[in-house]
Amino acid sequence: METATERQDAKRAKTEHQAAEGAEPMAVDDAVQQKDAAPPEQQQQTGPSMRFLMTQYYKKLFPVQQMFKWLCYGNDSSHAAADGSFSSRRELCFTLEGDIFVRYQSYKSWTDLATDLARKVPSKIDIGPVYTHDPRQRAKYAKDFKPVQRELVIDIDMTDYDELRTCGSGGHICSRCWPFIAVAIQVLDTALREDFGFQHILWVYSGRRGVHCWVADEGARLLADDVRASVVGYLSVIRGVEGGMAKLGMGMVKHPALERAERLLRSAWRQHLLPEQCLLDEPQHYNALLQYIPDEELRSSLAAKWAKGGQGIVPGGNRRASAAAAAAGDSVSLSVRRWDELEKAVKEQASRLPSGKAAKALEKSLDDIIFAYSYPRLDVEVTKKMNHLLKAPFCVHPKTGKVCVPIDPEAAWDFDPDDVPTVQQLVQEINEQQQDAGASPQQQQAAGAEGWRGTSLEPYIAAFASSFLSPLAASSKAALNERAQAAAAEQRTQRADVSW
Amino acid sequence: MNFINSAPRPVVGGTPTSQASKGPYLELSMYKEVPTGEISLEEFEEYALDRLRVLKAIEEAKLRSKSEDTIQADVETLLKKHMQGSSRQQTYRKDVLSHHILRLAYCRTADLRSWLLAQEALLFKFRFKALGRQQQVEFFSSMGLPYHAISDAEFEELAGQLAAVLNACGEWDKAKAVTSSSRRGDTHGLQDIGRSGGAAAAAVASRPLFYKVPFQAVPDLVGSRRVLLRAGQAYVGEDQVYSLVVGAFRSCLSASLAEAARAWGAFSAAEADRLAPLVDSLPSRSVYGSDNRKVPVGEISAGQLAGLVAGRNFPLCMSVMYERLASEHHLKHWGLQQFTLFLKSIGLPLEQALLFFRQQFAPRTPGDKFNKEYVYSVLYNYGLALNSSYLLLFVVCRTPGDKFNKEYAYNVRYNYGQEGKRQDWSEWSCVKIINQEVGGACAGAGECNGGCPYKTYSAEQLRAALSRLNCNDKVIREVVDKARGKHYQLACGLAFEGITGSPQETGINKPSEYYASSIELATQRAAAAAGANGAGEQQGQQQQQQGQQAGGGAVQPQQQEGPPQTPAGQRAVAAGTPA
Repeated sequence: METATERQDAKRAKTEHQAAEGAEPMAVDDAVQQKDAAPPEQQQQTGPSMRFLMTQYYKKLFPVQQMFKWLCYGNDSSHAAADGSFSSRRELCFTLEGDIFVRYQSYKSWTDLATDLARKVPSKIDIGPVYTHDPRQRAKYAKDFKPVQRELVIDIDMTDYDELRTCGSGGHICSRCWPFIAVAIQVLDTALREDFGFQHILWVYSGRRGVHCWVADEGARLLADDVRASVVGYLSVIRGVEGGMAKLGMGMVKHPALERAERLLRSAWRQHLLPEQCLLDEPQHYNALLQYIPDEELRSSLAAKWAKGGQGIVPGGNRRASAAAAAAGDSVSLSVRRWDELEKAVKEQASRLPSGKAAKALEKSLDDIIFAYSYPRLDVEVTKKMNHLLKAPFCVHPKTGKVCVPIDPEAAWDFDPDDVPTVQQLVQEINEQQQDAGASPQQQQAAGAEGWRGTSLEPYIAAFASSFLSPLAASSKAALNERAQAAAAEQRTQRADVSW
Repeated sequence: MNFINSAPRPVVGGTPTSQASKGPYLELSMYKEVPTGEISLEEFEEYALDRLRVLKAIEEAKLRSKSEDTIQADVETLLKKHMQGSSRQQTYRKDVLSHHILRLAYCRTADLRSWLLAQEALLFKFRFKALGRQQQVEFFSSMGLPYHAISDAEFEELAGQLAAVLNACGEWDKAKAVTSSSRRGDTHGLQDIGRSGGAAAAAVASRPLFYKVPFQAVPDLVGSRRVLLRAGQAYVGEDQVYSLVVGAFRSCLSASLAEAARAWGAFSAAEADRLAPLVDSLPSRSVYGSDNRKVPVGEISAGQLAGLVAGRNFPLCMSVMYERLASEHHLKHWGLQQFTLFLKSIGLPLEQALLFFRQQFAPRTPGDKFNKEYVYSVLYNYGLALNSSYLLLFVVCRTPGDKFNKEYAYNVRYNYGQEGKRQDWSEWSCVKIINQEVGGACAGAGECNGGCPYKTYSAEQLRAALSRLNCNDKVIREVVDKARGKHYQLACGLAFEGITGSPQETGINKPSEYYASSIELATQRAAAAAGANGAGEQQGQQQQQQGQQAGGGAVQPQQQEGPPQTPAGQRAVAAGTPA
């Protein structure tokens, strides 16, 4: 015990040193002890304890090899057309304890990166662009140093939904507000694939209250900043929020992309958002929603009617139970019933209106509500600039301890942010594995490289490798082949010129 | 950049790209060839400034979110006004030369380059859109871009969606054209013609043509969802090819600018004594030259200042400084400079300035301080020699313990050209005020150090300051947005609109321009009111007062006439004496 306390009080370097010497069993005991320790001490120990967990995480769990392979796009291979300097021109930015930003890091090989991670134990890793030169030597190139490529990235943050969510705000996220994210993933993923023709798209949970999207196609990586901004423009509908109402950038007739989005949003609206968010249960929520209806009379009559009516069958109920109930159809949630009432009332009122234009405007307000509530809200600045940093997948969120795991866009509805493995849980899992196996030091070392095998992180890494990395590797290789061929053709013409 | 070459060459220009029927000023060039020939230094400067006038006007129109159609019309007027030469050749020559001069002047930093790139591309877009359809197609095909019109089969397949996009853009007629031609299916053989591109295709086409291009080539159409996108390909309608053309223009100019930046060193070495300083100074030149609106001629008196402030005729930067001075009886050095020079430019004579500042500084600074330090400065700024009247003034001020004279008067007189270099200093421009470092002891407040409040104030402070000036709430929001977007001068122009209820069209580049517009408006309103009411007695009086001011006679301080009601009424109060 004494050694453990001493170690915690000692400088970082010492901790690192001891950990590096292979003192895992003791260190693990230490971690377990901390968990059992009295709560008042817990807080004081959070710092070192998190650092310790992160040391373990980078040593055994973080899929450094896979991550590095991704960021190289085949340039780490011995391919004739491979660009050997590629990986060392990519900026990584570390956030060290105490929010110290260490920008412009770059690495030649995954082992270099692994060593540095074990040494620096960053609480966060951000991925930047690939520059013209090694970012560590940026001073030398001054004017010529600029970003040349970077994945197209999209950031969705739950805080942008704060005025809509009925379950919480700020850093809060739960399975009840996940539908906002899930439908956003669905809409954006479809648009990126069908409209823009991108194929290598990675969705990642940000560890707390949002998701990130990485588009890694070569075409996407090479987009100029103004084109990135145009992609954002194409994908955005909500142009800001004024007086509690979203300003929508769409007219009476929708662009085919928005037509398609509407189909996705509509099904999510009745199946998930209304029942799970209970958007029409409470007066403050339905009044906010009714604002979008331009007909004052209709608004007040519905509000009056709903104010009299009782509570829902499953008010604020468990998401799955409520969804199941809605699906079964026997006990439709209150919000869904009220939405149907609203829809019916609006349509009836519209049919009574003398002018076709006014009727259309009234009916459009239903679409407006659905778009205002469920169309993806992007943090646009992140996407617009090539040199914007974004947190790397498989980082650990420093506040929640959750790992930023990939999300399968096909199964976005089934993703539960509360089920995401945390660093605490994962480190415990390896300890248990080791204890169960009674492993010899040798086996431990072998496990050290890919310690995530057998932990709850494994399925995520496996999915990352199979559905993102391998197709990407195939594309990268094809691109390299093409480049090699083009170079060879050029050489031939040059030679032909010479022989002339 | 060898158009500065002195060797005799053929006249600049060559053949205009298209035989535009709309007028010579619309002829377009990609500016691929560097012009050669002779140009006088005067022309060199004049051409560049004229083009800058056009570009800056377009930028401002864009930032004021004017509609595309309005800007389109503006651009034609602007080109006629600034860029039209005596003949077609001359117009073309001026266009090409001025473009290349600016290319050189704006190549040096990334900011300058991106500014010029953005404005030139806008200008190019509007000029291209002004061409007739035939000319557009000709220009497009002359560029040899590798884009093909889609085949009949593809058109048939996509017609529904293409029409949907057009409908979503409000282009009902074009959408109808698409749906009807898809049903007719009478466009057999168009594919080949489409592929050959150009005029023939457009002439023969009985259905609308669509070009299939990578979405990267038309970012503006993509960003506003005005094209159909499928698998990374955008379907660009024939009336949208401007986007492709402008895109090509942009990338061409962008490369040229980068090249010019590399060549700058050699140019500036060779032209160190002649063109380089001129070119170098272009980006920071004010394009509002001598033809600029004048501040109302005539003098104003110290006694009128309070009324002018109450009448909300001062721009925010000056009105906050006035208030600061009135309440704190103090201004820091740079604030005093900025404020005195403004007062001088709006017609406050030196002796009145000294009187005004002495009064303002008085409560805290005994008179001798003024005399010793400020009077000198005031005299200096007015560029006047000590004559009897100033001696008299000195006598008046030189009372025991006159701190003002000691500390501030020198500065005021300096600003009026009466001390030191005896230069007739001109008013600080907005650019200078905005770039002024507002550091020091009262940096937090900003007021006593001067500076531009739209830059130095927080959104909260700005809101409070503007609502004190009775600025319309909706406008305040817009002003704060503009200020946050770093468009300080536009924010100021908007505030003018919010405060006076009338738009400020010409832009504000100096604080005195705000003042001038405000006075002009008030005069107009007073005149209109006077005319409408058969010139009532009171209004007649007001006009008289204004007439006096405009006429140039110094108005004697009068008694204040009660709280201001309308802008015209407020204007009348301008003659009131400060309490």
